[in-house]
Amino acid sequence: MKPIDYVEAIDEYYQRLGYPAYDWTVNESAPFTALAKPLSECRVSMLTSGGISHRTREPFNPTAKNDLRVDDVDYRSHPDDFDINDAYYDTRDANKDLNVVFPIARLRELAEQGIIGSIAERLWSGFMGRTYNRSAVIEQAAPALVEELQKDEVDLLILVPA
Amino acid sequence: MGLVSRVVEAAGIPTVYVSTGRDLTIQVLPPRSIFLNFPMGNPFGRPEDVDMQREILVHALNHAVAAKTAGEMLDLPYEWDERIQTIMELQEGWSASKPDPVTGKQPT
Repeated sequence: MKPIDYVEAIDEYYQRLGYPAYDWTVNESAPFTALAKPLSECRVSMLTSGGISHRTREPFNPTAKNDLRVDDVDYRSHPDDFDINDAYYDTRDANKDLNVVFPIARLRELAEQGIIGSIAERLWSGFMGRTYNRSAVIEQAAPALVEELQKDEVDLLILVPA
Repeated sequence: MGLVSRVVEAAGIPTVYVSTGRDLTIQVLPPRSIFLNFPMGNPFGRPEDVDMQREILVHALNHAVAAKTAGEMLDLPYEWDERIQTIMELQEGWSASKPDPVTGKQPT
C-alpha cells in the first residue's frame, strides 16, 4: 500500500474534534554533520519517543502534551522490564517485544559482533506525546540532551519516533 | 523528534531517524532518515522477528555512513502484510467494539 498521508489524517481528525488546526513545522533545509569514524569505531546511542519507561521509574502519561521528560535508559536493561504508555500509537506489538520500537537487544548484538564500536552508557526515552511548545524543545530540552550525549562521547544517535 | 534530531546534528553529533510517517518526516526534515512503510510503533517490524529487526537497524546505521546530503531519506523496500491503520482509525474501532457501559451488551 501507499504510505499513509498522516498530515491529512491528523488535520481531518483535529477538525472533526473541533480543535484548532495543527501548525505543522515545515523545513526546507537541514543541518548536517558527517560521521567522523567508521561504524566499527562509533559509540552509538538511541532515543525513543514511544512512552517507554523502565519499571523502576514513573510511567509516562499516555496522553501527554508538551511532556519534555527524558529518561536515561541503561543499555543492559532487559527488554521485558519496561512499561509502555502512549495513546498515540498501537503499543500491542511493542508490549510483546520492545525491540520492534526500541531495539536494545539488537543494538547489543551489533556491538558484540563489532558492527558498531560500542553502545553509549545511556540510551534515552522521552519527547513522547504531542508537542505544541516547539521552542521549549529547540531551546531547552534538546540542548540539555546534547550535553548528556557529549558527556557520554556519543558519535551517532539513532532516533526512533513513535 | 524531528526537531530533536536537527538540534543534535547542529551541535555536531550525527543522527539517523527511523521513520514510519513519510510525509511527517519530509515536512520536519531530520538530517538523515530511513523510511519503513510499517505501522507507527513497528519501525523494526514484527515481535520476535529478530532477523528483520537486525536488518532494519543495520540499514539505519549504514545510512548514517552513506548519506551525503542534508535531509536525505532512504526508502526501504519492505512491505507490511496487512492494511496499515492510523491510531485514529484503530481507536474508533476499539471504542465501537466496547460493550455498552450500562447494559454490558456488545454492540451489534
